[in-house]
Amino acid sequence: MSPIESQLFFARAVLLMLLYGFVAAAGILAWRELRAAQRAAPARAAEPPGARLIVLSGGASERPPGTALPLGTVASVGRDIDNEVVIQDPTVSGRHAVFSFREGAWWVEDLGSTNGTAVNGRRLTERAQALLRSGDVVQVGGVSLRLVAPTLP
Amino acid sequence: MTPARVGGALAGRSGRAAGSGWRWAELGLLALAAGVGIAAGLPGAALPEGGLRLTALAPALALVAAAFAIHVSLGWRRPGADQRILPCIVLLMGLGLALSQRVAPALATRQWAWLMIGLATLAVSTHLPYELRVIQRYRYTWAILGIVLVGVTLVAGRSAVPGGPRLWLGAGGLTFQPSEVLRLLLVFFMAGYLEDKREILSAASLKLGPLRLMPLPYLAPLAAMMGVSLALLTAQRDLGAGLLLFVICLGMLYLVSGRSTYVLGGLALFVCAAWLLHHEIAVVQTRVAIWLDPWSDPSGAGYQIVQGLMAIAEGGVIGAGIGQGLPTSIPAVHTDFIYAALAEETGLAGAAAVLMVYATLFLAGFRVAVRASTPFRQMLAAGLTLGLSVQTLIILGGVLRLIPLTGVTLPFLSHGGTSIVTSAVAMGLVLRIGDEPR
Repeated sequence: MSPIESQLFFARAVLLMLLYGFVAAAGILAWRELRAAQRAAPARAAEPPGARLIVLSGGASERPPGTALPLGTVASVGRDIDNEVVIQDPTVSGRHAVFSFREGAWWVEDLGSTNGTAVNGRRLTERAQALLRSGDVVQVGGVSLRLVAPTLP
Repeated sequence: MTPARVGGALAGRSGRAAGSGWRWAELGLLALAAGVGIAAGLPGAALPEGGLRLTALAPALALVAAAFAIHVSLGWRRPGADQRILPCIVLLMGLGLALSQRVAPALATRQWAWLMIGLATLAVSTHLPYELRVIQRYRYTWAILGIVLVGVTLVAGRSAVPGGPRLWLGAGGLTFQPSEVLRLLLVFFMAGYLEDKREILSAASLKLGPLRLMPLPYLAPLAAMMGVSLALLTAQRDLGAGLLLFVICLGMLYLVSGRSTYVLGGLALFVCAAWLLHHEIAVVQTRVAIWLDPWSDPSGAGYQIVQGLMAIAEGGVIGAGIGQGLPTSIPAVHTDFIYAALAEETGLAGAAAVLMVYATLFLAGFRVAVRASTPFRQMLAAGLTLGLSVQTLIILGGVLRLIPLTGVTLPFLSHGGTSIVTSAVAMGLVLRIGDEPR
């Protein structure tokens, strides 16, 4: 091969190697990202064990009755996507209510929602907290949810 | 604790929170992308007796230097921005510059200038200290501005070739293509508008037997803006831009509502419109005919597609090498058919790698959308990414004869200043959306 030919061959090889190096590096990044997300996921769902909300009637949201919505230690409920439990129903406020687990019990607090929050049919006053038992029905706007907490009475 | 920071493998070497370290992933990818750009320019700089003409590499080096400057500025001002977007863009721009020097040397300096302006635009749209809310607030202004621009082009536009479609607007030597701008502005409009109406759109208001009807009155402004835009683009015979706009609109409606009704209804509309256009417009008939059988008229209507396909076939697995093929026999090779030139000179290997780079870029864009904090940011990032990805699919499908050919540019790779600048604005905004205080 003449100098120019070998130079051109070298340029082709380098170009393809760099292109695939780039693709491989992007692939490795995506893989590491997936792994990190997988490692983080169980930690979020771990506590407290088994507590969840069961949808009784989902209103206009896309939650069919019977859907289980797992609860974290503190779980806000509302229509905005940054809530832990998102319910896309027009009667649910952006940040509607918050469920929290402390002192060995579940509590629900209304966050000043438009259509209010009720426990077993009794409407909460704004900013008041209600103690919940497993099996209680919580009404969030037009959506009914049943609290199921296997570790509680 | 927010999910977005948990999967922070891209935020630092060991998954640290963003902002607490150098953006190493971006730096590494950028170094590889710079290498690709320079390696692609090497054959054009080689001297017959061996050795290199360094001045021929100067444009590529300037591009790389600008890219590294943006990398530093991102680390300083936008530490949480996605780290894959900038390197992908720089890689595509570097390849585009080398191919441009190769297939259209007379236009290469101009293309280089546009690429530099594109990088500057990217930096500006990422760093400008305005609130993204501004885009939402003036949503109707954007839509009307875009439509007026295209309307003016219909009356006072110019064409690239005498008698061709009049798609350009401008004075003297400086022209731009308003249909590209319209697409960007309509994505702004749709993101703002759909954010406003998302609850109404996702809750079906009317039920007719098993069918759930969409809330038509609330769709009227959107339908009006889209209808006027599509009518103007059809009148200009800019069918590629029209198709692109239509697909973006359907995609964003689906994203905001999660209802396949919109997509099915849109497809039905599309079939009707396609049939009507095929019936009424001669250009469409020609395009469909040469898509079905380009070899029926290989030296006339089918010439471009046949030349493109032969160039791709000529490339084989590893290609002829940059500067070694004959892609200049394809008409419009520097704009619509740049991918055929790439496939001829870098082969299946290079063409497939570039597809993967596009996939990486668009996945990064959609990842930003999924993780954005407000519905408007989600819609904006998704719409902007959707626009570029559908554009890529339409032109690649056309060049590879999978769908009828409609002329749109290949983002960041083709010639065309307007395309480079609007694509850069879009990706700059996505970078910006990806970095948010939490």
